[in-house]
Amino acid sequence: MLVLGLLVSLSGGAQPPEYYAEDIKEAMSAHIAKQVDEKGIFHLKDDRSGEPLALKFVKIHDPVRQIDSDTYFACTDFHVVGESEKLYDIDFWMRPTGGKLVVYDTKVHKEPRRSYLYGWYKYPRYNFIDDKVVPLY
Amino acid sequence: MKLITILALCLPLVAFASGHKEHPGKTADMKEQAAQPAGKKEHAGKPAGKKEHAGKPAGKKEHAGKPAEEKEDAVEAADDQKSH
Repeated sequence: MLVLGLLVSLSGGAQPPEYYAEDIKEAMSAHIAKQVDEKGIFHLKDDRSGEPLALKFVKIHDPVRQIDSDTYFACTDFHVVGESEKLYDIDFWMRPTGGKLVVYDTKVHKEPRRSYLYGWYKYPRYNFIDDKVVPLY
Repeated sequence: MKLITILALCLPLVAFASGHKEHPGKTADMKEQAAQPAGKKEHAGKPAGKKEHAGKPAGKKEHAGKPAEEKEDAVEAADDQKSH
């Protein structure tokens, strides 16, 4: 009986820790706080164009998401410094490292484009199929 | 211009139909939701309508019950029946 209990507890101990929406947002806030410079500007190299971007954080989109047992995801808005209507939609992927969620991948999901009809809008670069990034062009 | 607008409106539908999603995965649980499984409530039932006092006011009576028959009369009536 004791051996059986030990086996059950050992197999149960292998489960990854559960993270919740609050943990994901907290990890995101910590990541942004760590990345910004003294003026609060978030510097990011555009993963497609290679262009250096200087951005101001706007918000984390609700709801934040869980992809699988140890992959978490948040979608955010940043605007170009000095141009609050030019919004970038930036996606962050997180996984548990050392007991907390850490960002391991960042992609520009939507870039700002201007239409004569609608003004500035966010133009998507990719969608997801089966939780994998699928470029739109 | 109209054709472009129609196409632009149709694009999300086409994308959705072909399995494209805007975001991956599922919505992450909130801590509070996880701690309190769906359907569980702290207290059973619904809050009761507030009343200062329970029940309806009783008709005011000075004394309980109905007046009892006087013993004396009852004995007299029995005696009358015996004599007849």
